Amino acid sequence: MQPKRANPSGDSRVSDVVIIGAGVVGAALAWSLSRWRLSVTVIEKSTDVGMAASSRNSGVIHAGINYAPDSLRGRLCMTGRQLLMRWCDELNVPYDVCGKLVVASAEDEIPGLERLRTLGEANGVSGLEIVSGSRAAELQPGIEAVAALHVPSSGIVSPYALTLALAEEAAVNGVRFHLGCEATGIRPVESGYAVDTDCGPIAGRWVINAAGIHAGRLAQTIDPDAPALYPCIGEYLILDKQVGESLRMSVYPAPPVGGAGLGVHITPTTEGNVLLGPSDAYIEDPDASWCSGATADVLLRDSRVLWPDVPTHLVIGAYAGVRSKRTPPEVGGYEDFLIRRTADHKRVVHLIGIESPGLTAAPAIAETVLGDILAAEEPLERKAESERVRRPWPTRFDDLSEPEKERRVAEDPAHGEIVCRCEGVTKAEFLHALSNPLGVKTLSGIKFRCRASMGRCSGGYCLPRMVDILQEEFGWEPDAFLLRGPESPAFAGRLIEETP
Amino acid sequence: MSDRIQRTDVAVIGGGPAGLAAAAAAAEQGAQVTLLDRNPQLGGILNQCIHDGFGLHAFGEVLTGPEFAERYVRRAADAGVRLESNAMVAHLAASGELVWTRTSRRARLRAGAVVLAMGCRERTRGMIRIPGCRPAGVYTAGTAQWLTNLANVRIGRRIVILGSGDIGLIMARRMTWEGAEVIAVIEKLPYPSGLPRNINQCLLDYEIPLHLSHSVTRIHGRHRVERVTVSKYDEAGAPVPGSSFDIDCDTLLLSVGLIPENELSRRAGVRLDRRTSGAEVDASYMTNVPGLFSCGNVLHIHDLADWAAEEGERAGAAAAAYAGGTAQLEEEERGERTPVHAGDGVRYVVPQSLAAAQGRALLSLRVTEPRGKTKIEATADGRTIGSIAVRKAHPATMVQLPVEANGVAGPVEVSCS
Repeated sequence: MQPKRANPSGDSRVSDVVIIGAGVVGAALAWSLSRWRLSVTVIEKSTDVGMAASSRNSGVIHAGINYAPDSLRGRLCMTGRQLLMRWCDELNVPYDVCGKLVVASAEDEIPGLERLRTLGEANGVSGLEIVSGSRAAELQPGIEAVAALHVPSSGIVSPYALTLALAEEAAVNGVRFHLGCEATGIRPVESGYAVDTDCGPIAGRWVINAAGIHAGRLAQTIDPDAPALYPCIGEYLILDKQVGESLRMSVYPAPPVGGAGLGVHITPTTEGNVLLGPSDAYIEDPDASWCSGATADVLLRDSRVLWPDVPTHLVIGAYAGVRSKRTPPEVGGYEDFLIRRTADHKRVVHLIGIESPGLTAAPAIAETVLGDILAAEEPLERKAESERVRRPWPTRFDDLSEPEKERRVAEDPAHGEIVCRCEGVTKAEFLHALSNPLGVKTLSGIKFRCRASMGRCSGGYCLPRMVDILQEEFGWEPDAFLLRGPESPAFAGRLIEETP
Repeated sequence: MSDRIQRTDVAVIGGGPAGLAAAAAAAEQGAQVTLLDRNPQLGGILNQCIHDGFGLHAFGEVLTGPEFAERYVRRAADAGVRLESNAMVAHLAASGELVWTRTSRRARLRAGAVVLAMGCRERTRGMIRIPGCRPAGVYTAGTAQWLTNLANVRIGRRIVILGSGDIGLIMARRMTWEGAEVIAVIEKLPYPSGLPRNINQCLLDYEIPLHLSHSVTRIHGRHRVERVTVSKYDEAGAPVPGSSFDIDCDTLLLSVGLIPENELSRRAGVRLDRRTSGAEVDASYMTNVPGLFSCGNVLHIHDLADWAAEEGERAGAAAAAYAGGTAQLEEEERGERTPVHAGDGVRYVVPQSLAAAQGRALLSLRVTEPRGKTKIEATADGRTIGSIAVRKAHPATMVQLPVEANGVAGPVEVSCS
């Protein structure tokens, strides 16, 4: 175990706002706040942003059919989805309003679809239609349905690209990120509040607790009545892009009654893969990311109910994310999001229980905290548009047209060299990922930024090429290759030490 | 920079043993040949195979991988093949037009015939769904071999190998030589999937235990591999309760199978065989897309590079004939194609079809499970068109069966007895 840096920022300045957690909510907040004249510091326990639930979900832009209209979830989902798409346009993050089918596999599941339609219409979702099984199979060939609710306004977004794009643009606009720095408590100090971390205290006039699954526990250090959170793991399988060619929209089952999730669904990704999942199981470890063999079989079985010929031999990977449930296992189901402050500590804001549809709602959560809470307490000054530094998320080379590819190669010769075969990642894209403004140089960080090693061969082809470039052109020693951080070295040194 | 489209009689994609041999053979037939390979050095995976054992069949000599590759590179160069390294094919159309790319250049090439020789990739952890954590220190054996032999990187010190494929066996010996402790090789099947000679020379000679009918059922370690749980598997392929034990290790190597790399072929409309994951070809190695040929590990996984190279020679010669126009003329005389089926005890057969007026053809096949003295026979129209007797048949060993296809009308069935 490496000792942590004593004071990561190397300064004792008091930030205007300290954000705990760089998931999609923390990143959305950082990005929103970076447009105002505020000093902002983000503390994140992982060695990169968006590495917990924010990159380990279905990547769905929810339409708003699952939540009561008077709930925070319902309201933030509806405003969040509009903001999300606008932000994605601004940041060049890929998304697709591909629609969704909620499938009834038996007659007795049709009332469940009707309930969703009623809820959706009350939320103002347009275009909802319950269609016959044969119409459903026209909309998405291959699926088996008695009837289905067609939700045309549902969509997909790359959740990790969104989080990274928000955080990186926030960083180039002055937001400080302390990665690999874990918050342990919040306490009042003279200048405002101190967030104690394993690398020293970090002070701010405001503290926003966006610590995901750890938000409840962290809130209780200053607000003993804050609710606890219960980790509930959801596992997914990833299918080869070949399968994505035949999936036009997401396919969900009718919602399981009292379930902790929306049921195992089949979802396309913006990169062309297909996801099967998630499962739901309450667990002890809030930081779990393991996958169990038995669950994989359940995911395959449940997927086959919706899509009998789902090509299960084309599974290329798996991942798992942890939901922040406010409801304990014996209760199940859902409780609303909680945006909480106490009268004693009006400048400490806790965001608790932000599970599904947290990704969709994240921009709205950020704007609510900014507009309804910060701006209500003190005057804020907006930066001039000309002061903003833009860092658009790069369009993937593989997605360009052939003439455009030729043009890019002429412009930057490094676009001519393919580093990752499965995802068509060029050397120029790899170098761009490596030079990210957060200073993340891990193999995982490179993977999430340019998709090298995210494809069907899991790095079998591109790892050697990346090792070659980093050793030959950047002088990296084997010890510099880390999967996620100092504790996860990829290699155990040189094989043969060169003689000096 | 859309430079003019270049032309060639035969384009070969991939410069491993099959591609190099195909290019050489096509050029020796008088065709103008361009070979495109994505690596800086021609030879494909042979370059990382610094052990010997190559060339016994092709040259009657014992060569290392790079030496074996060098023979074919020289032969291809002597025959006038235009050899392009650092050239990755990004797109292939059914018409034989392709786009290839390298640093500072993206170019098009139109070929009269194309030989697909892209080789294969390794099966990964994700595909076999090993449960557990996702730490650093899990590598496929071939990637580990590259890192060890070509990047001077030590991948780990205490190593468990899952799968008894040949690359895993070679790596067990290689890592032992480098002072690492190879604790065990774990194989889910009741018999090894690598060649008997590799079991002897890489495991037995170094007293490395091989656990048959076992598999890794969990990976432990949040950051780097700390240990693996190993369980016994019964005949039905289910873990035996109470049979689990843990092995402390920092590295898990996977040698659990190879997959032909057919993304380019598939997008060009080439039909694939679910059993081989390679193209369906006729006896001239032509796919369902006229003018596209396939050979080597992209067609089906070979046990020896020698056989991949020999297959490449036959495919290259056929591609040259097609590009030269002589094949089309012959085609009309050959008549209908008849399918070739894998019968009892046979996992697959390549080619998947024969032409009635083919004359002699060579079938490549694998048996489904180990067996003793076996007769492998190809029959059609109620008669035997080829047979071979082997002392021992093993799925790890590819079998080649010459047949006489002249006048065959009905389907051909290949089976063991």
